[in-house]
Parts: sequence; structure tokens; C-alpha cells
Amino acid sequence: MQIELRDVSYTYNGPIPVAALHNINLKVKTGEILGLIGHTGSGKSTLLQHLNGLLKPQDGDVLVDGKSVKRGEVSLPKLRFRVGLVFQYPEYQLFEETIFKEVAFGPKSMGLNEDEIKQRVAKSLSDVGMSEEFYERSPFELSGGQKRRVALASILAMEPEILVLDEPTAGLDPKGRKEILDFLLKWRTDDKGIVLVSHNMEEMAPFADRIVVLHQGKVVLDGTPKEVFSHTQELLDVGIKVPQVSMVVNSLRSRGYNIDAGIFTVEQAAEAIFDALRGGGERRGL
Amino acid sequence: MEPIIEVKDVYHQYGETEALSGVSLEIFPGDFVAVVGANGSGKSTLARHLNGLLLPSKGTVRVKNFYTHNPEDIWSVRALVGMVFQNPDNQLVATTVEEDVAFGPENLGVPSNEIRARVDEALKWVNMLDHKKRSPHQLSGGQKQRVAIAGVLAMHPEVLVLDEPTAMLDPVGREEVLQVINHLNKELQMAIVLITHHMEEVAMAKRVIAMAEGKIKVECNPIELFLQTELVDELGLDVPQVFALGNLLRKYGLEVDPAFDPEELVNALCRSN
Amino acid sequence: MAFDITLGQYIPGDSFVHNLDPRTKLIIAIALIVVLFLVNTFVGYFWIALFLLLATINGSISARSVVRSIKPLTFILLLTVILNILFTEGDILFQLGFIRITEQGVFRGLLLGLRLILLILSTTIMTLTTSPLAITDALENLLGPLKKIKFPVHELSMMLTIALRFIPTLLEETDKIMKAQMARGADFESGNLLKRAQNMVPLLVPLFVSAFRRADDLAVAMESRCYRGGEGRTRLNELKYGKADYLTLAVVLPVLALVVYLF
Repeated sequence: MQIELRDVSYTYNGPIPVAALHNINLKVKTGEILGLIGHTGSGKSTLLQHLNGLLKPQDGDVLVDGKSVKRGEVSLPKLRFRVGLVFQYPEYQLFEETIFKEVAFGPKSMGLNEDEIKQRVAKSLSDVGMSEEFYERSPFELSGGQKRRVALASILAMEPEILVLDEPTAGLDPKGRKEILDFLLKWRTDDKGIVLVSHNMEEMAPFADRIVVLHQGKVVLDGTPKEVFSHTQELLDVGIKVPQVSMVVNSLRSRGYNIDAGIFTVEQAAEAIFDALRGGGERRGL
Repeated sequence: MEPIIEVKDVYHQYGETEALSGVSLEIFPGDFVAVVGANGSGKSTLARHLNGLLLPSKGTVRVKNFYTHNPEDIWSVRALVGMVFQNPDNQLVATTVEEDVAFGPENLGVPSNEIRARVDEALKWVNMLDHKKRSPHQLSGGQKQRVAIAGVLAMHPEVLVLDEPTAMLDPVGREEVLQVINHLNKELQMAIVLITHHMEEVAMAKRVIAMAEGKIKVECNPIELFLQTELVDELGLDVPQVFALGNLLRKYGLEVDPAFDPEELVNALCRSN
Repeated sequence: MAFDITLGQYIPGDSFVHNLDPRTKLIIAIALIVVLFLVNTFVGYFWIALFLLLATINGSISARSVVRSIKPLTFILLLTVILNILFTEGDILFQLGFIRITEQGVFRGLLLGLRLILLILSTTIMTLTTSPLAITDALENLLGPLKKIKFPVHELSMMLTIALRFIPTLLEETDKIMKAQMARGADFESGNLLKRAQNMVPLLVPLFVSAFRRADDLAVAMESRCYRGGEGRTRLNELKYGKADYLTLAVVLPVLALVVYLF
């Protein structure tokens, strides 16, 4: 599956019109984890809502496998099932009496039969690490991290091809954050795609195949994490910090050490710095 | 030095579960304590004991000469220990910034002209004086949270307790709020208790308290905590990236002092190599 | 933002009108409403309009905000004018089939239309120059005597303030939850009435849960800031009648009475 935003612009009409997107060109496809970075007000959430047809482009077009949303060639309800959108703090949208019913809501509105619904609910709940004993419990009794996982399962049960997540780890403790990210890595296969919005560069960098930086409704950078994070200055100009590890690497480079610019994980950095400082000497503790 | 807050062997029972079991802690003037721990470790329960929102099932919390379990002391305790919460939207009461900041002093019965002075002063500390006539829903998350801090400062507390104040903010908002907290501690010697999930924020503190299962597991300075990587793991926490990089380099055999800040680590590397 | 928030219309300023005590403004607004129902002539309305114009200019209220305040009531306004023009008996000015327009009809239609506009303006000038909080304060103060018969005046005004504060927040939240449920296939637009009511459940339950959570959080935050009811509370802006207020009331109220008497 491929979704292409072609010259998409969007303005919110209100007492004061707010331009949210300017001529966005972007391709999102299965098999890829796309990281989307931008500040509050950069147009991120407006962009996300174009991916699953919650918003229709005012200018430009959204093409789903080549078919135009603007010309009505795409069924929007179906598109919403194919592109699962997980909003920020998704636990706030829980409403059913039991966890089972909560997760069944999506598949039910797809018009699937009982057996299929049961099967999907079971699969998606077990995927997010919730066992059968939870099925008949109320989602409102769960802890924050568990609620988040149920909300995630309620989208997964629709078996979307592309999963779009807005800050899925916001407000969780380190363990909860790790659980969600580990799950996403496991879920992703060649025929699934992920679009991940995050403020957390450290989290995003090792995770994404490609990173797009959005600023004031425009795409300012688009490339592999390595490419994007080597543009330290451009990132700083739009008020985005590179991962802290990249800052260390860049600072050492500016002092004349020969280290690769596009490094952003602790392990890569430690090796590269060791080699640069010790000129290939023996590493201990390996 | 006399502590402002003295928590003495406090237990707290939530129905069946024991949320705090035997916690003792002292907060001194000018202190900066970070409290960390996984969800359900008892951090927030502890915070809510500091100003008497929750009362100990056993043990005592003393703030200066007042005890939280004495009903006649409770308002003195709350005026001395200001509390800021996670969700910036849910702690602003009034429809304009200045009226919201005035809410606390109004409750304390401070005379009208003094309230005005306190409001302006508090808004200046958090750098929001220019926004005093605006309404909260027009502000960004970071701005709202700074107004919430000002609302507490206007009561002239001696300790500021912040329960995950940056959890719902974007990086810009977080930075703003952290700067304000740091400034209050450095310039006004305000004692700070900062509860957080963000390990980078721990670096600002003078002391860190790590909790698990309702108990204080470690109390040390931030550097000592993050040098113990296994313990950090066990507590469900993580090591800030730059610090972790330093840890790994040391393991490889490089001599480098621990540091939280990228530039500091680079300096340390260049110094010793 | 998807919603036009009309409740908090207040635009801060430093004019004579802005600086009047909210009680003065509230009393005058109420007096104006009464007067507008008592006066039935264009000349009378002219004087009131002139008065409102002065207040508008002094409060530097833009024509845009005036138009915006009238806009939501355009339909009712037009309906009033048209119905009165069409269905008032009297001397026929113009006739087309069964449609009969009379002199009295035109007069009545325009008069009632004008009355409606002036009514809106009287209250709008107050809400544009007075913060909602000040209006609630004024209400609390003017209703103060009711405390003697145990009427919870302070509690009511506190509730009003909190409602004003949280309406924008809850509107935004409604929008968010609606979108989130639509992403799960919820349908808020089609089906018959019963079906539609059922379809609202995924919106209403989270909205209520969230409102309760906010209420809880707010109660804790208020308690932390030493809130313990109205007793012993002071105010940032103590309501204080100044010279300007006495003067305004002393001039405006007799003038309004005169308008009623003369016209």
C-alpha cells in the first residue's frame, strides 16, 4: 500500500484562519517506518489526518495506491480501516464496558462476522501482551500503561496495513515506553508500515527507516536518520534538537576527531569514539 | 540545618495495597530533590503526603511546626508546600492568567493590594508577566504550566513539589518549565521536589530518591545513581543517553568523568585523552 | 480550532467603559433591557442607539466584533422583521396576490428588529469590555443579600467561573474524541434518530469520563491552593465603586428614565 500526498495544503477556517500545511509532498508506504518530527503547531496532526481521510485535502490531492481521494475514487470509511490512526493519549477514547467489547468495536464497524471478530480481538490483545483474563474486565480499571495498550489493540484489531501513531509513548514511564516500542518493532513486517510521530529524538533515531522534519506546515528535511541528524544546524534553526549522542559526536568532530557524522545510538557512538581516541586500540569489556 | 519537611516512617494503605511502607525523608531549605521510580512505585502518593492531600495511615509528616494530620494545621501546611500537577489544563481555575495566579492568595485572605503585588512578582519569576490578561486556553502547554507554578508561588511557599510537571509537554514547553524550576532553586533558594519519568531532568537535582514498591530504595546524588546501571535497570528506570555513553566508554577502558551534558562529556574526554 | 468560542468575548482594554465597576455595567445593561421594552418609538431608540454608540467608541470596540455578536442571531432577526412586515394589519402599501405589506407592518417590523439589535448590543458591550470573571463577581456581589437566606451565592458564582474556564477545553476535547472514534469506524452522521443517539455513546462516555477526571484533578489542585469556600476570601480586584461609577449611574439612570417618560 502506498499513500502519496501531492501538493497538499490545508487551512483551518475560524475567527482567525490558521494555515496548517503548505504544499506537502510525501509518500508513505508499507515496509517502512517513517518518523515524523515537528513542534506543536508544525502541522503534524493535520498531516496525520490526511493519511486516513479524516481530513480531505483543500488543495492538492491524496493518492491511495494511485487513486485520488479528492475525486472520490477512494472509499473513506475503508481507508480508515486500512490506515489505523492512534491519536495522542488514545486511552481517553475508551468507552466500552469490557475490554473485549472495546477492542471489538473497530472490527464490528467493519461489518465482520462474530468468529472473525473474536479471532481478531484475541490476536490483537495477545499481541499487546494482554491475556484472556482481561477480556471481561472494564477498561477503566486498568493502569495507565495497560489502557494505552488496550487502545492500541483496538486499532490493531482492524488489521490496518499502515499504523499511524501520534506520540504513542507520551506520559509513560521508561518501562512502559520500551514495551510500546518493542511491540511496534515486532508488529512491523514487510507488508505493514508505520508512521511514528515523536518529540523524543533518542527514541526515534534508532527506530525509524526514514525521518521527515515538518516545520510551519512544510517538509524541511526528508531522509534516513543518518542523513537527517547530520544536518545539525538546519535542525537547530527550526528548534529541533538532535539526539544527545549526535551532539557529542558533532562536538568531537568539530574538535578535529575523525568520527562518522550520522551516529545516534549509544553503542555506535561508544565504538566510534573509542576508535577515534585510541586509534583502534584494544577495547576492554567486550 | 532544620528541615522544612520531615517525613517520618510513613505508611499509606490504599484499600488492600500498601502504597507507602515506611518512608522517611527530609527536605531542607534550598534543596533540590528528584524522585524517580516506575509507575506504581509510590512517588505520587509520597508527593501528596507532603502537603496533606493524603494522610499517613502510620507515621507523621511535619512541615515546620505543623503536622499534616492536625486538621487545624492543614491550611498552614498547604501554604508552605506548593504543589504543581501533571496536567496543565486541569489546575487552572480562572478565565484569565492573573486571576488564576491570584486564586491562592485570595483563599489565604491576603489583602487586595498585596495580592496584586504578589501576582505580578510571581508572573515575573516564571516569565509570563506579558500574558497576564490572556485566557488559559490561548496558552501553550508550557505556558499553562508556568502559570500553574506562578499560582503556587504567589502563596509564598517554602517548598515547591512538582508531580511530573513536564510529562504532557512538548520539548519546548519542557525546556521552559525546567528553566523556571532551576531558576527558582538557584536564585530564590526555593526548595524543590521534582517527581519525574524523564531521567535527563534528574541531572538538575542535588539529590535523587529512587522508589519501588512504596519504599525508598536509594538516596544519593544523580551521578552515583546512574553509575549503578544494574540497579537502574532493576528499578525500571533508564540511564540518560550521554551518561550511558560515558558509562560504556569507561567500560571499554577510556578514562572519562561522568557527565550528563554532551559538551561536558566532550570536555571530559578531551581532558583525559 | 474548530469551534468559535463566543462565551469568552472579553477583549481587554483600558477605556472608561472598561474600567467601570462590573456592577455598574450590569445594572446599566439590565436597565437598558427594561427601557428597550418600555420604549416604542424610533426617536426613543435613536437616543439609546446614540448612547450605545458612545460606549462602543469609548470602549474601542471594532465594528467586526459588533457584527460578529449579531451574526448568530441573524436568522431570528430576519424572521422577526419579515413576519411582522407580512402579518400586521393596517394601511396597505403594496399588494401582490395574498402578500400584503402594510405601513404599520413595515413600522413594526423595523422597530422590533431595531429593538432586538439594541438588546444584543446592550449586553455585548458589557461582555466585550468586562471579563466573564468580573461579571460573575458582580452577580455574586449583587446577589449577596440572598446569602442571608442560605442561598449558595458564592458556590454558584464559583461554578459559573469554572464552567467558563472549561468550556473551550471540553469543546476541543469533543472534537478530538470524535475524530479518534471515527478512526475506529464510528459513524456520527448517518442513520435514523435512534441509531444516531446510539452512535453518540462512543463520544459521550469518554467525554464524561474525562470531565469527571478533570473535575477530580481540579478539586485536588484547588484544595492544594487552600480553597475552602467563600468565607474569609479576599479578591484580586475588589469591587469598588469609584467616582466614575457614581457619576455614570447618576447620569445614565435618570437619562434612561427620561427617555422612557418622553418617548
